[in-house]
Amino acid sequence: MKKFKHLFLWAMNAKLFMGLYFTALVILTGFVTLFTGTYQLEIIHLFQILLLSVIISLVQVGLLDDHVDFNKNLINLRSIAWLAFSTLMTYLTSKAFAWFPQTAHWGQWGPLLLSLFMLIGLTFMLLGLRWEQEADTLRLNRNLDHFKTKGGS
Amino acid sequence: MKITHVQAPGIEKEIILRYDVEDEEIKEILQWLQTREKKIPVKIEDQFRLLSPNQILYFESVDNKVFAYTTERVLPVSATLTDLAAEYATLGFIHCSKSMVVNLHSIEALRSDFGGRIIATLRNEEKIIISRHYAKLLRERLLK
Repeated sequence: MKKFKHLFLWAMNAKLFMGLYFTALVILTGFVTLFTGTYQLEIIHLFQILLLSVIISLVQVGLLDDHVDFNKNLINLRSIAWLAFSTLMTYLTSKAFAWFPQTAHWGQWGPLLLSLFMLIGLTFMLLGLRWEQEADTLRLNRNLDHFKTKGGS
Repeated sequence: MKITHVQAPGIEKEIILRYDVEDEEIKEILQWLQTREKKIPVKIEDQFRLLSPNQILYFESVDNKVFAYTTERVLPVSATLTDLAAEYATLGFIHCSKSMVVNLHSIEALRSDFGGRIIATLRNEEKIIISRHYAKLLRERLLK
């Protein structure tokens, strides 16, 4: 039961990001598909996108959220590993399941373009999280100082 | 409230509170002063000694035994974590995990981490992890 609870909480943490990545991937895939001259996404591709989002978010929770690193270099290394993995997975999945028609104009560039957009999006998301953490750290230390100086009770 | 403090050589330390009505502020100050005088009995080499709360970095429960951690020593305490947290709450002691009660005055710095966690660096350079649940309580406490 304890293990199940732990697993459930772990999956819950991943759920939010999964929704975010699914939305981003659907929009980006749709956007890249437009370049190929097609104006529709197949249902089966949406399921594949959902699965990819699950994998990306679970790996994120495993590599970043579920792990405490006191060493900043290790955090950076883990972030880069997650970015590389997510980009590669996006490229391979979109190519393997032929999300973009190869016969169409720009079709062969689809997977590469989509992975590039994902890489940029995920990098900015990580940077955003990092900046938010820095601002939060500043706020926390300011509150701690205030608490101590007023004789904290 | 007017605060007056006098420093002179050779005089005894004394705190006098003058008030008309014992309001919340006065009650809080009195409670803080009374708790501040409290000492925690700890076991040092088969003898019980009294330790000032500000010497303690945190209390930790290990295998149903509670220990007080100072910068130099780890000392057994004969009280439960819940009791310690309740009794010394006014002095800045707060649960930072199920098995740990930390003295907020012993924290040198705080760092926000992924997943809503907080990493606290104590004055002995030790780092402790405060989980998302307890981090929320800590944030509320700091804002009080």
